[in-house]
Amino acid sequence: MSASGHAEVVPNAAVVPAEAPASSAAVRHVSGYSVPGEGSSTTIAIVTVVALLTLWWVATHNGWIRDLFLPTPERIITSFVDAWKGDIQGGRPLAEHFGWSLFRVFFAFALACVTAIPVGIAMGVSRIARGIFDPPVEFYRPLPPLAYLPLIVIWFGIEETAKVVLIYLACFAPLAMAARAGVKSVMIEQINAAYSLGASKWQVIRHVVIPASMPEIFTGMRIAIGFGWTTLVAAEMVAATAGLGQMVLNASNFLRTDVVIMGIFVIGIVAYAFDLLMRRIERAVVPWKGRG
Amino acid sequence: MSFSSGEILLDGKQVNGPGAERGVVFQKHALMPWLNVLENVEFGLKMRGLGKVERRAIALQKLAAVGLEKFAASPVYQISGGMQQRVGLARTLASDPEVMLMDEPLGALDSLTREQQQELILQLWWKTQKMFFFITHSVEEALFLATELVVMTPSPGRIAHRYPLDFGRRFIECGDARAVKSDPQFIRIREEVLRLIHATPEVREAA
Repeated sequence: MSASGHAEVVPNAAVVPAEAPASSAAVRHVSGYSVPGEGSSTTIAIVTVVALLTLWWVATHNGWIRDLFLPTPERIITSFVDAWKGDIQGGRPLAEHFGWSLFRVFFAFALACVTAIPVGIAMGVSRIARGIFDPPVEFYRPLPPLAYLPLIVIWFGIEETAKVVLIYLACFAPLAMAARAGVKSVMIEQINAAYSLGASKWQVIRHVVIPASMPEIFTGMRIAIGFGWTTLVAAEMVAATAGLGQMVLNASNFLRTDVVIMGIFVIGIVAYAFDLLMRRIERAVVPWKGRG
Repeated sequence: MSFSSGEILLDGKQVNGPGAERGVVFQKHALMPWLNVLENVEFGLKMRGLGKVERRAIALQKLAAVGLEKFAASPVYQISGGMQQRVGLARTLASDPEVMLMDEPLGALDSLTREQQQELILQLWWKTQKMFFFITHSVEEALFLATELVVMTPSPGRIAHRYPLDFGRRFIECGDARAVKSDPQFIRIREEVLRLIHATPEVREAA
């Protein structure tokens, strides 16, 4: 702002700043008034990651940390290759563990999307739905999944159902809350405008409330899938024979720290990759987010 | 909100709630950012079940009436505030209401854009021959647009004065807003209304 302001007073300064030394004095660069947090952090982020990896490499190769606590980076890669071939405890290849976990998380997430979003919208638009769903959701929402895992096992057994239900419950609450908050974020002017253009109450919900809630719902989906990955290991603690969480837990029993760290990396990278995908979808579906 | 007494009649029929026969233009444009300019203008027609071809034709015609036919496919968050307000006007006109209710529609615009919009509103009013009910805080705007200027007092809202005016019609005839607004008669009434308002603080005008 300040630069363009000065450019109007001294037009030449903006056109040829390098040639006229006097004009550089006219365009004063004022520092110390930037918006806190502005600017790109990508370079710093890359430097941080490289520094951490280097520190890891140096610390493990110089014997600062014992192999049991932190194996070398190469060992993690070797264990990844071994796991890929199924050459680890349990004998299942990594792809199989990965496939089972992916299925559990995404099936539970999809189930949560088709149920929690309508429930959240209903809570936003109807006093009756809010009265029905608010107490149970608000009660179980802050509970740690490990606390109700035994109950889920008693109710649903030790098969796939219990695992999916646990992850589903972890995804449900943040999604329902987000959809409800989305409904509340609709501008009253938009609702009044729709009514004054002849829309019915259902049309207002369908054509104003739901589209206007989409940005919040997307945020909720990103939070929910994160909760899903967080709950995965807990879900695979009981009677799982395959899955990334089970692989990590099993490896820890045999003090295979390299497999534990490799499993953590795989979960982290998959979750991050999915979040990047969600952000791209978000930009495509709600390009007006923050500009409405 | 319910009113304490009295009744609202439009052509002898009781008014009980919002409806498409009374079009409203809001202070904030209240457009839907998930729809483009054309889809926003179509919105009311779609709600009332018109077919796609039919409503598209009407919407394009109304967009042309406010001079925005070139922006039909633009997202509404990428056009200027004045253009957004014109989309709001076109959207309301598309429903072909019996009366246009305008609640300070130009309040958020800069003064140059505001004057252009006043001229546009007068032209639309003349072309459509509809009744426009226009609320504003600007005395000059009220005088320029009104055929019947109603000056109101704040809480309790009472009608303080009524003026029959014809500056809007003069603009339609001569097409020169500056000439109308600098006319000695315009200035005299403007000063008179301003004196009236300053005598009773915080008066609102409705035209």
